[in-house]
Amino acid sequence: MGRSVLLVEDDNLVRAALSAGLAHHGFEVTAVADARTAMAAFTTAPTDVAVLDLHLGAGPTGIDLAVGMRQQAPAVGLVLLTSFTDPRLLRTSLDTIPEGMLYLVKQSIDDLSLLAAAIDAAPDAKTSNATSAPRSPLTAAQADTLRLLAAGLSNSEIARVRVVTEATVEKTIARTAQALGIAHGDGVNQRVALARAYFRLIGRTT
Amino acid sequence: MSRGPVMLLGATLREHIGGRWAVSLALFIIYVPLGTIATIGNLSTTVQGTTLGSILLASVISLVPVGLILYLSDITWLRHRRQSPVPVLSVVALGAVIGCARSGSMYAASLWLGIQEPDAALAWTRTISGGLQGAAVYPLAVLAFSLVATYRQQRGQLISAQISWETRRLQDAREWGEIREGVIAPLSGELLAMGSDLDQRVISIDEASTAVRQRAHELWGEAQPRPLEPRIHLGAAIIASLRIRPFATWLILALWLPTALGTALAVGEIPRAPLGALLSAAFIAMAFEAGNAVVRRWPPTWLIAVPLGLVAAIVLTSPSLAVVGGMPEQGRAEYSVINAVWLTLLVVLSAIVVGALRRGEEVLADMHVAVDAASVETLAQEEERRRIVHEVASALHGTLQGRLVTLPNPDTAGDAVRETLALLQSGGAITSPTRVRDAAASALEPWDSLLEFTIECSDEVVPSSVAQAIVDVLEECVSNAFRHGQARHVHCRIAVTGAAVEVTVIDDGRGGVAGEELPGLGSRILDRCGTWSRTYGAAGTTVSIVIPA
Repeated sequence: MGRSVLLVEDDNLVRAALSAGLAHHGFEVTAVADARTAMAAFTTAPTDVAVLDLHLGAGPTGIDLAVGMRQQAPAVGLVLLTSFTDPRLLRTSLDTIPEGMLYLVKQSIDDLSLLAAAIDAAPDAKTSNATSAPRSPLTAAQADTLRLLAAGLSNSEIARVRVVTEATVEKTIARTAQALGIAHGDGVNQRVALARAYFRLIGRTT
Repeated sequence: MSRGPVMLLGATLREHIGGRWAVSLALFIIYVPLGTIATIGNLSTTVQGTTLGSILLASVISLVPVGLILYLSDITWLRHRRQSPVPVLSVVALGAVIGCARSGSMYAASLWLGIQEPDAALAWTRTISGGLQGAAVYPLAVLAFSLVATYRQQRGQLISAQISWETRRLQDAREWGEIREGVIAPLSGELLAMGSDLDQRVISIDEASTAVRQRAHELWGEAQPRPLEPRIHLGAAIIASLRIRPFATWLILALWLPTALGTALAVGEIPRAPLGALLSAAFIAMAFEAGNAVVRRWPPTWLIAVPLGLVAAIVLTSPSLAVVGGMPEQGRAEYSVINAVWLTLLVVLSAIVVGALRRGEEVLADMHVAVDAASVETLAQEEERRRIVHEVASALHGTLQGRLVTLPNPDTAGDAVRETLALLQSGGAITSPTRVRDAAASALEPWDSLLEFTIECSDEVVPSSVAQAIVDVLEECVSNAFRHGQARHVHCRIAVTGAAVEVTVIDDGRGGVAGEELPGLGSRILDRCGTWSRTYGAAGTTVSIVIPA
């Protein structure tokens, strides 16, 4: 029998597919949809490895769960599975990521054996590959502004939320567009193009 | 100065001094008439046969460097001061430079036009006296005009606070249910008609959806907020200040005396000139102090006492300065006019500044009288109605769109409209005020597998916006406690006190270590929600925040 795996993924289809796929690879899979159930399941029966989605809705993120699980079971292997190529776009810092946690971007997995290999390697991983994870060419402020823009906020609302001036928001947006290679005035609405870029960056291609 | 005036002064300079041309234009309004009268007075004593046209031309020419300096300062150092206070001394310096530039260029223009004979000593006296005048009047004018804007802002905040308090009261008393009925009832008939209409025609889903969306937009459009412009005009601010503290005698004298001495020395006889200036100053002090005493004793008489005091000061100073100071006969009339305008200007500006700074709250209260309890209640009801209309419009749109696209048969679009109407009438689509306890639970529950909680809070209800702020604050504090403080236990205390909700979050983590927080992000969320403070203890962190309800 392979390693026991706790899969935490809030997307039903992805959870079902991964659960079946990993079972097919010989893992003993427990699949849950949210942080509360995940922690409860892990406390009752700790698994060898936890495969965690980064974004789990309101409350703790996959990284928070990983920290909690590591406290309970120091030997647990941790794999972070996410569509976010840049975690800053979710207002998440990588500073708190536990040691040895492997960071996998969903879009880069074209064969389930890659994930299976990561799960096998996770309990023995000493360092995290999170810092070498792909990043967008944005600064933290630009990432945060882009996230708010894509949420449909106007410049004045972004300025209010970020507690900066509207002029600063305008400049940040201009620099973000520049960093993402979105040219101004070539028949494309810059705001829409930026929102599209955001969804592309978080792995939801439009 | 105590904290209030400093805050008011800071807010004024921070918010408004960079207001590009607002203050600059006001100064032009002051400089042009005053400068022109001064020019007529000064020049008519030097060269005979000077025409009014050439004097006006010289006056206009002298305004060019003033405009240039204002523009240059606006695009350079003031530009970066939009978000930070401008030191008062810098404003004084700018005023002095503008004053010197105007008087100096006035002299140069007069020479060029041939209406002034070369006189180096006179040029220096005029330039310095112009600089003194600018140093006095510029900061005073900037402060006075800016304070009015600050008042407007403060009053707006006061009104908003009152309205949100009243809205909360409405929600507490469940009066919002009646308002909701008031919004939905007139819509019901219209929606039912729309439903039957959709039944009678074979209608495509798209068409029905467009009709409903249009109605939702109309609804929302009708409920657009009435601009809540707290109308405070300069005149209202001046009157309010004059009623409370009419004459800031010592400030006026401090500003008036140097310029009077300058003029007296330039055109009068020495040593009679300084004597004349001092005697005039004494008259001003007497007239203004008498005016102040009368208003203090019988406040309603301010309308008579203020003009009387001003007229008395003008009537007593101009002749005494001219006669005792030994001014030449020619030009005395013009000097009297300059003196009258200058004194009136100083009285008005200093009344705004001193009155506003020292008795800011009274001035504000005076201007606040217009917004009485009844109108606040009406505004609060409107606010609540607007919120409900917004939610009804969104619900109409959202629910119907959802129903219509899942309809098996496009002919039954009418049923969808009626079903949606029933949902609206049952209140299911409208956010009701939230209990504090429920808001706290919704924020903390997702974390309860990672952290232990104790909650201490009342059972009161708060508006949904306040509940959302509570959720945001708790979410922020709890995630910080877990991520950065490695806390195991968090105690949350939520108290509803008067017009605010006080949230305190105490964790048992390892306390704060500089540089370990997410830079700025958490603070921004807390800044948006209210006024907050964070203290790091030996074990754990305490965050307190006051959310205005």
